[in-house]
Amino acid sequence: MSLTTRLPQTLKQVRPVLSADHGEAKRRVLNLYKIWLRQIPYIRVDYIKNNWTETRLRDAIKENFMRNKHVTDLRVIDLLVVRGQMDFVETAEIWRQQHNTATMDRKKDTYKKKPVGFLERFYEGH
Amino acid sequence: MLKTILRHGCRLRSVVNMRFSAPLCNNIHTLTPSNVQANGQIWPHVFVSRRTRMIDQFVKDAGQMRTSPPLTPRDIESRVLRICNEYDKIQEANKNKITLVTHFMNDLGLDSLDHVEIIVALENEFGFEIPDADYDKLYTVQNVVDYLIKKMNVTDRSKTTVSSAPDPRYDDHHH
Repeated sequence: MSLTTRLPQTLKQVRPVLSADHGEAKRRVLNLYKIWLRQIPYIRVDYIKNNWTETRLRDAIKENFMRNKHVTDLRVIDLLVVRGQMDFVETAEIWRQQHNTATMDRKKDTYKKKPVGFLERFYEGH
Repeated sequence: MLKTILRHGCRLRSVVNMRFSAPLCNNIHTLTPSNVQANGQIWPHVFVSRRTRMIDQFVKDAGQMRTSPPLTPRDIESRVLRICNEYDKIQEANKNKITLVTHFMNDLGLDSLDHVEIIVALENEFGFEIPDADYDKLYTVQNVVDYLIKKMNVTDRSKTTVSSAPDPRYDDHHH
């Protein structure tokens, strides 16, 4: 049975990427969240230089998901899920490097900030 | 502790007896059903009886391993409530007021991602995977407890199959 025969009339104008309705898309998102959560102890060990705790990792994953919570377009949701799954595979198979995973965690400083104020500049040597 | 030493001592003594004194039977070279092995070979009854006795002893020894006490519904409730209390997204005000009828979304203000987190924590605690289709049954603590009881076949007076004591008098784990 082809996809077009299964779709309701209103959706026939746009071809879906993966899911046909919001329920299916929600299931995909929740599954992706679940596999990220299950991977947390392995991420902690594989990328050990980042000194992550479980709560910190959970907050980071939640933050990444919440950043897109306002999206309503089905195809955009599907593409985001696919991109999230690609990120997951790269993280799980350790194709990334230590600093690469730190970029997904917004609160982590991956660069040294410029000194602000007299004392900080003094410590730097200026 | 003295009881266990005496019990273990007694068991060793019987093994020693078995090894050094082979029992003399009258039917060594007779064709009894116990003598005939699967492929029709006749084996002296002495060796057959000794082998089965040693195997029985090994099985009894293996059965001495200590198992955890049987799960009761109250155990499951307390574990589920403990996990819900440890969840850090719940505000401090609600923490100790989680009861059996608390609804995750309505009463505690969690969303579907938090619900997934709670279920993953429950999976880690109880050691088995909860399939996706059952997620929408598990919105209250009472539903979670009932589901777990059903899945793990917990009854009120369940007895373990492997006893951690050779003597049934010590079966309720108070030694």
